[in-house]
Amino acid sequence: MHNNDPSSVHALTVWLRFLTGAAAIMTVAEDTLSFFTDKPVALFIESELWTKSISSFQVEDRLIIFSILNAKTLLWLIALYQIWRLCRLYSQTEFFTVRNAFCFANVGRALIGMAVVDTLIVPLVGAFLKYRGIIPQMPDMNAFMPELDLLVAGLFFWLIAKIMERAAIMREEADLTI
Amino acid sequence: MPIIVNLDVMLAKRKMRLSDLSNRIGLTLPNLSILKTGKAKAIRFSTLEAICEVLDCQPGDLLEYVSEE
Repeated sequence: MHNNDPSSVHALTVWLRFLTGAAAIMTVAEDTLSFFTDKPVALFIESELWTKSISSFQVEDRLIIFSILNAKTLLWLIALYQIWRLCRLYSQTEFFTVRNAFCFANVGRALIGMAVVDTLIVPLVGAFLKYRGIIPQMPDMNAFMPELDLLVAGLFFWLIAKIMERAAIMREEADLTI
Repeated sequence: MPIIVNLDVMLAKRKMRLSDLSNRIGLTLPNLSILKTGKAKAIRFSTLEAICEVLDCQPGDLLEYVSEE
């Protein structure tokens, strides 16, 4: 099999699809399991560690805390879906088009969103627990974004996607010059 | 796009088929078809010159500006 053989592209696409599907299934399975396991919620309040196991919360509180903690997973699944769409375009022999660039840009947006959500998890959970009277005051906040590498990766994806999009438009115009 | 290509009109006036024009100017039929259906993004002066020469017309006979409003 040569590198420029179309079947090699097809084989790589199948692998990418398999990995994307496996990653999505593993993510959903992990989060579903974490709902039923007794993981503790840990926060720092005035530099003191505060923990409480999830099972000790009321069911509605547990559901809300679980939703906040897993908002990042939803964005990760969106990123995986975009890679899945990219695979579908590759299998239709669509490689350097505006639609490909759009998928890349969406992966970038999802990664940026994950970084933002990760930063907001502590304030959101803290605010909710304080509102419910479970903790006496807001927990200590991080001064810096904890997932800076995720944010940078997202920005890279998004910027490269923008370059790909413009290049695809330029190539399309060149191809349609008679 | 507000630029309309009237190649089909000129071909009808000259009673010429697209394939004949393709043979005379040395441009492929799919490319001429793209031009005729208005899908082209740009046209080279050399292509325009060749079409005008074969159809004995002016560029203004082939291209028309129609406002989008």
